[in-house]
This record gives sequence, structure tokens and C-alpha cells, in this order.
Amino acid sequence: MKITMKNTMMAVILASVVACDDSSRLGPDIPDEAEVAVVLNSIDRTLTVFEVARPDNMFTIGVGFDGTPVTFAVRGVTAVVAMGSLPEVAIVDLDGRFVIRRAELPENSGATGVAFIDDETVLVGNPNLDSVSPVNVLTGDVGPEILVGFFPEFIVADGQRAYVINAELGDDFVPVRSGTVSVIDIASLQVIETIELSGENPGGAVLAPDGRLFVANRGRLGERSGSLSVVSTTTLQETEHHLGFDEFPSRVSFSPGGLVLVTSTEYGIAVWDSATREFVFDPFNPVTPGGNRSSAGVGFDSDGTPYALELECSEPADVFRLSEDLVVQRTIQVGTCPFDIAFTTL
Amino acid sequence: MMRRLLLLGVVLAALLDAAIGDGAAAQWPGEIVGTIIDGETQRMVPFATVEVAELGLITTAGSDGGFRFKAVSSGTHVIRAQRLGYRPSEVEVEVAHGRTTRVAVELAVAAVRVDPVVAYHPDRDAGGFRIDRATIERSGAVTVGDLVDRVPGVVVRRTGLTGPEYAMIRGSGAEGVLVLLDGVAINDPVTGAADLSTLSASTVESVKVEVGARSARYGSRARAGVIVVESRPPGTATEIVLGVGSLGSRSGSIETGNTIGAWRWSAGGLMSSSDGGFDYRLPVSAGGRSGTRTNADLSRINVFATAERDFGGGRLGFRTAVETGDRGLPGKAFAPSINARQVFDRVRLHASWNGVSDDGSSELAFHGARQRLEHRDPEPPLGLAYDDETAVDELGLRSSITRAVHQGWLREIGFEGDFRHRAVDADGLTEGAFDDFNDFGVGARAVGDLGDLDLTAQVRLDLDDVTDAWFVSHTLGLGLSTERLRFDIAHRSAFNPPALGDLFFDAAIGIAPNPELRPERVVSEIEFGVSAHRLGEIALAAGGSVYRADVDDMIEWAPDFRFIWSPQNFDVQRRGGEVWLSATITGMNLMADLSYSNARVRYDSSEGRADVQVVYRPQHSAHSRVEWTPGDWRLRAESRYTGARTTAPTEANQLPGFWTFDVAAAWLWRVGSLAAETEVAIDRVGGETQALIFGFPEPGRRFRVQLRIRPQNDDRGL
Repeated sequence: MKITMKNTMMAVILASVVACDDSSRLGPDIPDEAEVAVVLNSIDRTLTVFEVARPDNMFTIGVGFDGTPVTFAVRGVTAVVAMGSLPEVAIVDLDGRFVIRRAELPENSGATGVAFIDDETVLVGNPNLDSVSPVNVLTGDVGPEILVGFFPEFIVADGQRAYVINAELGDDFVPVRSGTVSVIDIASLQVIETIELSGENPGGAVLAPDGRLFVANRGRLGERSGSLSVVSTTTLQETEHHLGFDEFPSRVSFSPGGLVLVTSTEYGIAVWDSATREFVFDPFNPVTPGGNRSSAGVGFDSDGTPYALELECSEPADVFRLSEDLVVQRTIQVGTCPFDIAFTTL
Repeated sequence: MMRRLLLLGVVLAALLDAAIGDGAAAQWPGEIVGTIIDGETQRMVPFATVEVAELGLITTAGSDGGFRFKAVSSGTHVIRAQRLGYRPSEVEVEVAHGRTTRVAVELAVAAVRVDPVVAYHPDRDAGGFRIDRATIERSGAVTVGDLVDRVPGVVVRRTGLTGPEYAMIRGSGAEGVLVLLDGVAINDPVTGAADLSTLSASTVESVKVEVGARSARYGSRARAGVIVVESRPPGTATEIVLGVGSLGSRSGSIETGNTIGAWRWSAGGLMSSSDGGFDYRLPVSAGGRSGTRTNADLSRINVFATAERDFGGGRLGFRTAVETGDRGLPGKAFAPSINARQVFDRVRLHASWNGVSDDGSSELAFHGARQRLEHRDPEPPLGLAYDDETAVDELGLRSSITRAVHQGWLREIGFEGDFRHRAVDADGLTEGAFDDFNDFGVGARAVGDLGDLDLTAQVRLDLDDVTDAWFVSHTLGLGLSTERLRFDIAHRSAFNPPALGDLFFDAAIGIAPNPELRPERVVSEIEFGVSAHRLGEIALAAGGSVYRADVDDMIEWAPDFRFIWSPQNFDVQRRGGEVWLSATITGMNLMADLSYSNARVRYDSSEGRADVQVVYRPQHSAHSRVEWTPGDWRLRAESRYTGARTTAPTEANQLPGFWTFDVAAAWLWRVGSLAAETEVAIDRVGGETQALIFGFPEPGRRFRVQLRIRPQNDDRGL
């Protein structure tokens, strides 16, 4: 074989060009109208989407080159991921499996906490600016900031109001006072009330079907001072405050049967009966799917089946599909450090 | 895997064999062993081309100037040596059957402008790439980071134009690359990494990059490679260089030297500054954010003085230097730090004695250094204000001896030892951290040959005081030289202890140390290499290598569920290769070089990790350069490819690869007794704004103008 210099150079150039070819989006087809679970993997910065009926039917969408996303919102086929330390939201077409656009938030704002307030608009928390910003998901336009409490971290919304959970942290990320909830009127985008909570460092919240707002207060690291606040969305006041949720309960979800599931990075899942106001499984006798004493959250599909997120942040983690009595039925591997889960229909 | 590596090596060899062309040699029992020496300074001249024309024998001298011809017929032969920047020289030698003839060939410095040459001549003995002074001057490089960025296997990690520069070799982190400045490690003991932006290219005589595990020769930190930087030696040159450019950059340097009695001396300095601000827009693929970059200024001052004389049958030398700088650390574009600053300064003193004789060489070197690094931000975008200073005082002693022997297959033996004491005072470390370290290493080396095979064996024992552990490292090398090609196979090991910051960083917002961290280890690196060259009107040099160098317990900072970052140990599978080709067409004054590197560095999936490329380690990179020197002009075009990078342990969020293109034109002119060169350079002519790391914007196209002035009687010319 006679190799000329020209051929050699061409071979090297071709080799490098071929090697640079990135693989494009891949994944199985998911039937129309199929219900899917959408899992936000925080370290990966990906969304894992799997079919509820056939969890092996799965694909992954990358949502950003930087950031620390821990919250997202889903409506229809649109997912909006608040990118955490990267001040932007990624607006994702779950059906097309790609990021449609990115909406830039102000410099240094951070982006944690996001909720749809209508079909076109989400509210996004700017924890470093103590504000929230409305974002049009169709255009990516970002509206004027709305000042709330210190360090807004989580947002839930109903048809009329959005509830912004403020952790009230200082520059050293230690609580400077008890948590608050800023209530925003969706029509006017004005804060109409600020609700004082009894617990410190609130992190997650859920609206129950009866209108009550359940808030998990993480407390201070190492002080085992986690608690649960119950807020009336009618009186806009904290009506109950329950201690005993031990170390760092971060997220809360509400089961179709009226149980409140509080997940902790330290002990797993505590289950609290909102009717009897008693623990079903307390932090010293928690639910630990797969034997895992660290969980980031629990979500429910349309049938009310719970899915618990394993908080594994150094390698791909599992989502556990649980039975009604919270026993693992199936394990589904997703990305690294799953932090949030939602269900929708594609 | 081993079979695939062997197959790759064979294929590579076949390609080179076909590409390089014909040659002829015969087998004879005589031998010539020699050294190439600078006629003025009596220093060794590395990488000269040496030939015995009538026998068709050609070789390249090693980094120590040594060369060897085996199987030489008896009789009188003429050895011809040539090297860029020197006049060719010829020496007549008498060779007898069964005898080794020793010879020293002196080269005189050329007084005329140099011709284009191959830029990176392979140092076959050490598997490295060397960038000499002539190449540095023609490269347009501002820092040592700019220089090594062109070497196959090296990727320089930058965070902005005026920010720190860290070399990554074969997919390693910067902590696994040892950087020696005049024999002294400049790696920051807190981070383990060496900032190459603190070393100005204009004050450097040569840079050598040795890729692969090199602890057997250099000790700690030489896990992925070593960058050996040599400062300017004493000389009689006088030179002034002035430059201006985009982003408000300005620079000026002056250097002069002379002799006083038996002493030769040089002294010089450099000042440079840059405003560093620019309007930017990130590529749409990277979010499209736009804004104005501020707090990106940089000012640097480098001063040096060096002197040497003949003494005790060798050369006695002293060198002192100060490198200082102050720069803004603007942070990521989406979370800019408008007040963060870094101040660095380094003061160092070296004294050394080198002796060379027919029987071998000896070296005794002492150094003292003080490095200070301060980071402060009174109003960071996130978290609490900080003002941390790290001061390191260091004393070191190094000695080595090499002796030629002629017993059986053994040709040379060498021993070396070094001791280093460091006193570290760092605000950012916990109170329990050590503050005094005594590192110690001893090594032995043997070189021999068996017919056409040559063998190298090195072993070194190191005491690392940080981990209070002993480490044994080795290199076993086997080379085969044919009339056209040279094949090398090496087996090596290396280690890299955790940096002080890994173990003892004072826990702060978002970070935490890991006192349980284990040292990184390359237990079994294997590398196959092949190289060849051909002289003539079209001179070619080419080579390639493939390697496997898995890393046990690689240290990487990773976040936990609270996004608190701390160092952790991961096993990593690492393999890849480099190919390079250099060509010089003398008649056209044209030279070109081309290289491609592949570094596949993936987490070990058997530990449960995702089987993906380690974050921000591009698997593919390439570089090419063409330089044409018509008359008094010199034109250069350069391109660089940075491959796709993972930004998290997943394939889903890869930054796309990108090319950059640079061009430059230089014109040599004369005014009276002065020779001057004006160079205009445009970097990123296509306006490319992508960067290796997400969030650190690039301004795109930028220009530089540089004026270099020397007396016309300067030996080096222009």
C-alpha cells in the first residue's frame, strides 16, 4: 500500500471529523395518549421520561450545560425546568424530546421553584433576588420581577393564586427567621398576603384537594428540627404546625387516600395521616423503598400509584413503584440524583 | 485490549513506513556514540539531526544532545549534524570493528534568519514533545499555556482570556500534570494544579511535554504527564518586544546579556496588562445569553536574572526570577463576580552545577522559592465574602549522576535523589491541616542495548508527606530502531496524592473536604509508539502512539444531593492515542504540522457509575499549522479542534465540538543597525465564541500587533 502525504492528511482529517459526530436524540416510540412519568435528574440535568404502563419504554432529554435543577413543572407536553444556579428555565417539548427554548432570568438570580399559573405562563423563583418572575413558555419572554420573601425555593399554584415558599435564608444559607409563604394573585401578579410559618427553612409544598397547603419545613442542618405546616388557603394563615419530622424533610406529597408523604434526605419517607393528625410511619420507623434511607420525593400517577425517588447522586438512581401499602413493586433506573417527578400524557 | 493495541501499533507502523519512504543501512560491528554541543555555551544541543551520509545512517539526538550509531563499518566516516538556528557541522571519526568511538560535535549558532522547521520534534528517548526557542518566538504564544495547547494529547482548560490556564494531558485533570519550572514543581499545593498563565512565553527557552505516567522519573503528580519549562539561559542577546491588541492588551519586554570575566549573564523583564472587558453573546446552543464582561483585567510582571560560568569541570549557574500578577476573576457569565480578585507572586532562586565528561554527567541543584496566591471577593454573587491566602516556602535539593558502562548489554546507569521541604500557610485550610512537608525521592536508571533493541529501566521510591506513604514507580521501555522506523513500547506506573485542598479545605459554602481521600494511581500504563523521519527537500517527521492507562481512585470533585461539592475517588478507564505529522519543504520555505488526539476517559461502570466520558474531558482534539516564509515575510495559519465535552455524567448534555482558526503575518525589516520584526495576528478569525467550559464567554475575533527589535549583530538573528 502506498500512502501519500495527501492521503495521510485526509485520513487524519476525516477521522477527526467522523469522530466528532454527535449522536442525535434516540429512544423508543411511546403511544399517543400514553401516560408517562417525567423524572428530573438533578446532577445529570436530564429528564427521564418513561411510560407508566411499560416503564422500560424510556427516553432521556438533556436540559442544560450547567445548573442545579431540582424543581420543574409539567403541563401537557410542556415541561419547564428551573435550572437552579443557572438563571434560566429550560422549556421542553416532551413529545418532540428537545428543549424548545431557554428563558434567561436576571444575572445571579438563580432559578428554583416553578409552577404553571395558566397554559402559557409559569412563575419561577429567583432565590438570590428574593423575587419570582413570570415566564411565557410560548415566547420565552420574562416579565417584571415580583418581590417575595427571602430565598423563594418552591411554588405551587391553583387557578387563582400562586403560593411561593420562602426559605428565608441568609447569605450563609442558614435561616434568618421562620419560613413564609407569599401569596400571589394570578390575575394581577401582585403579592396579596405573606403567611408566617412556624417552622424554619421550608422546602416543599403541596396543595391538597380540599385546598389546604402542606409545607415541609426542613429546619436547620443537624438539629433534627423538621416540621410540617398546614396552611388554610381560605384564611391564608397557618392552621397547624406539627413537629417530629426529624432531620431535613424536604418534599411533601398528598396521596389520593389523604396521606401526607414527607420525604427526607436522611431517613426516607414519613407518612402522616392528615385526618387523624398522626404518623402512620414516623421518621424512626420510616418507609425505605429498596432499603434506601434517603428519598427526594414521591409522586402519584393517575391511578394513584406512588413512585418514590431514590436520592442517589453519584450514579444512576432508581425510581421505586410502590403498592398501596408502600411496598416496592418495581424498580426503574433513571438518571443521577432524581429530585422531582410528575406525570402527564403525551 | 492488548491485542487491539498491538494491532493498532502495527497498522500505524505500516502507514508510517509507507509514508516516510526508503532508506538503506547495513549491519556492521562498530559503534559511534556522541554528543552535540553548542560551540559558544558548551551546553548540550537537543534534537539535532545527525547523519553518516555515506552509510545512509540518520538519527536524531536526544534531549541531552546524545546520539548513537550502531553497526557502523570500520574506517573513516564523516558525521554531519544540523539543527535549527545553527550552522551545519561535520566531524571526521575513525571507527574500528568491535569498538565504540566517542565524539563531540560542536554547532555554531547561525547568524542568519532561521528556516522553517518541524515544530515539535519528538524526543524519542522520553516520548515527549519539545518546543524550542525559535518555535516559541514564531508561535505568537503569550503564555506557556498557549504553547502546550498545540501539543498532541494536551488540552488547556481556560476560564476566559485572562484567567488561569491548566493543562490536561490524555484526559487527566490538571492535578495529574506536573509542571516543572527550571526543575522546580510549581503546582499549587492546595489545588494540585499549575497555572500556566503565570509563565510568559517570552521568558522561556524551551518547553518539553512528556505524556504518560512519569513518576519513575519525576515523582509525585506526574500521573498523566510532565511539562518541563526551562527559562532563558545566559546569552549576549539584547531584545525589546512591544505589543498591543484587542481588549486593551499591552505588553513590553526587554532582555539583555553579556559577559563579565568568566561569567555569562542575562537579565530581563516583562510587563503586560489587559482590560479584558468585552460585549459577548453566548452561542445559541449554550443559551444565547448576552452581556458585557467586566472584572476580567490582568496585569503581570516577570523579571529574571541569570548567570553562569565554567567551574570544576562543569557549569555553575545561578538564576533568580520573580513572577507576579493581579487579575479579576469574573466568574461565569450567568453569575458574574464583579469584585473577585486573584493576586499571585512567585520568587525563586536556583543554583546548579552540571558536569559532563566522557564517562557521564553529574548534576547538583538547589532551589528556594516562595509562592503566594490570594483569592478575595468582598461581595460574591452567592455566599459569604472571602479573602484567602496561601503562602508556600520551599527549599529543595536535587542531585543526579549518570555513568557510561560497557558490560554486557548495559550501556549507562544513573542515580538520582531529591529532597523538598515545604512550609504551607493557607487561610483556606482547616486548623488540623499539616503545614510542613518533607518529600523525598530516590531513583535509579539503567540503559542498555541488545543488537537493534535498546532497553530502559527506571525505578523510583517516593515518600509523600501529605499522605505519609511510600510509593514505588517504574518505567520499563523497549525500543527497536530499523533503518526507517523506530518502535517503542513502555510500561509505566505513577501516583498522585490528594492535594491539601482536597483533604483539608475549610468547609465553606458549597464545598467540603474529604479527609478519607486516597491517592490516584496508574498501576499499569502500557504504550506503543512508532516514529520516523526523512530528510531531504521534503523533510517529514511522523509518529503516533496508542496507550491504555486506567486510573485507580481518580480524584474528582462532585456534588452531593445538597450540591455541596467535595473530592471523591472514582476508578476510570483511560485509553487513546495520538498521531502527528510534520513536513518541511525547504525549497518553498514551507512547513506544516498536523496532529490528532483521542483520549477516551470513562467512569468505570462496574462500580455503578454511568459509562460516559469524564466531565469536561474532550475525547477528540486536533491541531494543524501551516507556516510559509517567503523572503522577509512569515505567514502562519493555524487551526484547533476541541471535541464535544460532557458537562455532567451523561451523554445528554454534551457541548458540541468547535474549531478555531488563527492567522498571522510577520515582516522582517531593518533600520540602521537594528533588525525588527512586526507581526500582526488575528485569533479566531471566524469569530468563534465557543469555549471549552460552559459559561465563560469568548470575545470571538481579536487581534494583536507585536514589534520585536534586536541589534543586527545578534547571534540569533530574527
